[in-house]
Amino acid sequence: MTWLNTFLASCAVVALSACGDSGSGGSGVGGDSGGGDTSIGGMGGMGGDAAAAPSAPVLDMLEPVHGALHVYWTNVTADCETVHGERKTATVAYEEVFSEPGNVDNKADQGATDTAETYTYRLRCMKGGVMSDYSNELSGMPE
Amino acid sequence: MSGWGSLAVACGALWLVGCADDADSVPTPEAIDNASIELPRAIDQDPSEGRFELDLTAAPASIGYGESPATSAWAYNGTVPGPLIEVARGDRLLVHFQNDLPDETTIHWHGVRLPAAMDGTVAVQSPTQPGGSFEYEFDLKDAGLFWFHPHVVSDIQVQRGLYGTILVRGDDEPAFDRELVVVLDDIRLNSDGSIDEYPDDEGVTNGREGNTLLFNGQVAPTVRAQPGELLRLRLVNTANGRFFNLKLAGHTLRVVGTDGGLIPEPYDVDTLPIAPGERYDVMVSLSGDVGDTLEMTTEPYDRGHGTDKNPSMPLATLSLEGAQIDGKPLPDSGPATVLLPETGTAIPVLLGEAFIDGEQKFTINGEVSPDVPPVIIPNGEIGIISLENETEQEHPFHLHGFFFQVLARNGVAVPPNDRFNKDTIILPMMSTMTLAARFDEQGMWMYHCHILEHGERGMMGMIHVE
Repeated sequence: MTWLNTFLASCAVVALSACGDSGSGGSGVGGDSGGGDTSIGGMGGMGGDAAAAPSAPVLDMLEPVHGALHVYWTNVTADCETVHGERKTATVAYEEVFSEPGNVDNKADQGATDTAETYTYRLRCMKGGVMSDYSNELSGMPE
Repeated sequence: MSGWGSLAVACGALWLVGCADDADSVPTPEAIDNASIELPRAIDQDPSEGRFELDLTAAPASIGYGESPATSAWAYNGTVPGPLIEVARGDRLLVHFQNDLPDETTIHWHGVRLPAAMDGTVAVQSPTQPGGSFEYEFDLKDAGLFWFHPHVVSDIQVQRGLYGTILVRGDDEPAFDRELVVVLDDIRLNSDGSIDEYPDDEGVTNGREGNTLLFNGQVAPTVRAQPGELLRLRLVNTANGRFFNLKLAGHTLRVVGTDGGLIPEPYDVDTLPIAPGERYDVMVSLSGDVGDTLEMTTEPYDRGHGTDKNPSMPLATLSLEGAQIDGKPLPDSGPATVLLPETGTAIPVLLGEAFIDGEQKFTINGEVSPDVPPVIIPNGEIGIISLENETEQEHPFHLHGFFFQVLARNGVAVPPNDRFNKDTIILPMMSTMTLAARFDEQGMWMYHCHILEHGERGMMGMIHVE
């Protein structure tokens, strides 16, 4: 995914620059896409200089693997320190389910295993103690 | 034994002098060499015929990869890749190994048929401790390209740079105009030049793929040749998890050999998949004009789990220089394979994947190494290995110490003239394959997936030849 991500990151930078809104939109591959919900636990850009806030990652794909969901994304911000992933279902609000080093671009979510459930994800990048806005959202179901 | 390259150059010089109409237009072979990208050659310390002796030291080293800041790597004799050991079939190799690493290690001689005690797995030797040494000594029975690497925490130690090659010349080598041993690898580098060893989930599931492709340790180097030449490429994939799918723009590749040496019926391909651990012997007749450049790339290849999304990526540029020559012809045939019997002791091997206690594991017959029960087979017996891959990705199956021949794929028999000796082979996803091997050397022998993250996470088994 590394080369693909480099390409997608370039595209994302262009797209985000054009839109001026790093918290909405997305590729929609593998599920629904839409605006990030910043009302739940939203810290993006808050509590600091907005200009210093890193750009949000871009969720690329959810792939059912081994009865769970594998989440793939592109890190838009160079030297992002950590990537925080949140997940929600129809009955459970967004909660953080993983954090990875900032140069990692995927996570196998072993908590998403109910084949009758739709899981929705969003991500943020943290750099210098400042969180980005939320990424786009993607939804999918394990198989 | 290291004089083959010099001999080829000398022959090339004589040929050029003999054929030149205009001395000013004919380049000297030295002017079109590939010294800058050729592997460092091991120096034979034993002047006697039939023996090759060398000191081999594993130690930390500072290595430069392209434009990246210097990388703290591990290296054999200070280089990545390590030295190329060139010998003749039947020679005896004596290696005085010194471990100057901070961790224990071993050396596995991939593809070489040798005594079990020399195979470099923890089943047959205690790892060489930091500051320790070990003597490896064995005969090279087969011609072909082989390689060596640690068999302790191999996913980490190989990625750090511990690998080298052995080129064993036979007495039935095909003619060529130029030859290059090519080690294909990749490495995942951070922006500060350090190696990214974080085991992210995709790297575990699919095998770690680096963000920097390496061609004899270099990033996108230039290979020089003359138009019309018959170029022989001796290829090995030393990557942890990346499958290379080799392509040379505008050319077909004629495969004349693989792991076990030359094959009886060479075949042409536009792209050549090479799994980790595999070797291929390829000839290509270079067409084009002086001044042309040809891109050598690895093309998209679907080995499961979204791996087909990798784009075409550059490996090297082939620069046509000098003058057009009338190169040697492509070989149409090779030596016949001594076919193995099709019956013997049944060895079922089912490759699977599972999450166990929240961790990704890879299984053989439902068990995770070291809990996979060993196969026991009498010395000299034929084993019929029934491989089944129930996963949704390909696995390169590697057998230590013996060659095997493919008898059938998904139940369809492979014609005898398409059988040849391999030690590593791609087992496609959700497929079966039947192999035959003659187990004629006593001891404990490993078989495993050569995606190193898979082997280290359970996909290893043992065969005990009594």
